[in-house]
Amino acid sequence: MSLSPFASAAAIARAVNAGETTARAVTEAALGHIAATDESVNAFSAVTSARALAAADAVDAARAAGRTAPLAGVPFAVKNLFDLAGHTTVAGAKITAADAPARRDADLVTAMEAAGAVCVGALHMGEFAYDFTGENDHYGPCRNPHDTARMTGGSSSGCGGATAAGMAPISLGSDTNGSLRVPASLCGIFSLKPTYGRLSRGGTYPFVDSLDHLGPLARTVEDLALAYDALITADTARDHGAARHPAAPAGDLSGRAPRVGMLRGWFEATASDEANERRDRAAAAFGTPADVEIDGAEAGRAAAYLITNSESAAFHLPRLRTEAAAFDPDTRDRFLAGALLPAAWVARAQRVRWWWLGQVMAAFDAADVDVLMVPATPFTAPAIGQKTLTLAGRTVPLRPNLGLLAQPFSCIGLPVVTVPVFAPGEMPIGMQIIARPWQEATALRAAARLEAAGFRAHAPALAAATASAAVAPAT
Amino acid sequence: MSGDRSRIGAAHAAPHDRAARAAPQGGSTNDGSAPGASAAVPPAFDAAGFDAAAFAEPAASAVGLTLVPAHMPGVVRFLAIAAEMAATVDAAPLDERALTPAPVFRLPGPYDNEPSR
Repeated sequence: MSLSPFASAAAIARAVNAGETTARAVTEAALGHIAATDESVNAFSAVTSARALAAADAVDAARAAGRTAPLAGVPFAVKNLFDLAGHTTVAGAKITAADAPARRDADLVTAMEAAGAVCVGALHMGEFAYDFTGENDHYGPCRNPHDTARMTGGSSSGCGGATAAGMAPISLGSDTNGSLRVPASLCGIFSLKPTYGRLSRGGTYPFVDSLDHLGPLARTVEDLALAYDALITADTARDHGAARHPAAPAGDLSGRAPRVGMLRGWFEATASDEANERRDRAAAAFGTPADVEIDGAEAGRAAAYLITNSESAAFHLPRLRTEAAAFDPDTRDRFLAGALLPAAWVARAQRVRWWWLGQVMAAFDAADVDVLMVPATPFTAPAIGQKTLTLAGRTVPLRPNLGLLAQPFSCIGLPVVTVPVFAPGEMPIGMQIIARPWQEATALRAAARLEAAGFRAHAPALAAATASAAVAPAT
Repeated sequence: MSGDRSRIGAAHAAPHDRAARAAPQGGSTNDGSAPGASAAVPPAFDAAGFDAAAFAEPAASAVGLTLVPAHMPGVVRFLAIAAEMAATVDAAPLDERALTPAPVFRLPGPYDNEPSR
């Protein structure tokens, strides 16, 4: 049996566990598809072929010994801020390229491999994760598989490109202000940003400790849930911010229909007409959702901006003092500015962050809803090289604003699933499904309902054209 | 398409209001005012009055950074954006007795379908 590069992780694991194919055959096919496709997308910074084939053989040996695994033989790739033993964790930067290789894998990589998944490589990203575009002055832009002249979004840009193009059914990225949700939105795939503190960040290059989340991207909700169930088993001893809070598996995705609130007010006014039209399409799958307005979103977003700018710049201050010229110019000047912010601005932002959480929690209760829905990006993918956006009638810099609909929710740590809403031939845009803290399962259930209504990850023409050559038969 | 409309206004309290918990019983503070009440609305920070270009050099010196001329336009532009953000957070109607500076952010819970520890 041969599997398409667009086969789901669940289908791959079923086939490997049933002995219908082998992990080695799946891995060789994935490596072949990457070789045929990535020149157009520029998603991979390293392809770990030898590691992948060795891991695949270990999965096949376990299968031969009668042991199955939930992600048996499923290829996955990681944003290059995750440690992979023996590889330098560059975090999208040039000044890290000569750093010592990682001595062990990141906690979430270990958890994926323990579930039988096979790591096929590391993925490009915006420099030090300070990016919403997918552009990178050092390594070139990641290109959107649905239109290679357009951005993937970032900063988990390689994740968006690789998973949308069928090069990795699951990828792992990070989200500080929207870096899982923006590429998922622009590339037309699903992502899960779990609750802040849910998943261990051990063995990853930090950006903003008080805002950083890690999570999976995938082409189906079932695959997101499978990845999530694997990731919650990770050891958390290396992450001081890991919550001491029990994590339940994703559970039955077809359970009770969640009650949905559509965010209006500032969110609606800030999104484009196109984004709001896609939101209305998705809303129809939920019957009659409630309208919800929450005062303070702009302040919540501003708090995220200031905390990010200041905390990340303080982290990079030694490098900015000695090697500023070696930074990507598009991130350097933001870091330099962030290093100068008055402490009073940042302290106020921390207070506003908590206040904004109160606003949102009160909205859940007042509207009596399980999830809130709002577009993940204000637009579909801009052209590579574009520098400005027009938002609510104002021309603003693109780079800090592409994620402004996502920032208010990572700022307060809520779990968010992004769902692609587009028809074949359209450029994608994603909807954020936002749940209460620790309610990842509720968000996944709402996303599954949208997927069942037809909102799914369509294969891009670019990658589909190269797919058939890379499909290998079972051995 | 849509059903009920809910709106959460600006004066809603934070989920775990430290100031409210810390206030003396009887609903007043030591000076007799209501918990969280302010005698007067303080003036807000005005981003329009912030001179990013004049601020940048001495602020850089204070943290050991050297700004070369090629970096200045971008730095000034991003400082101006940050000043707008600062004005926005400054205008949020906070309880001025509630303090939440913690860089480690912990969420409340569990909620209804989560097992308790």
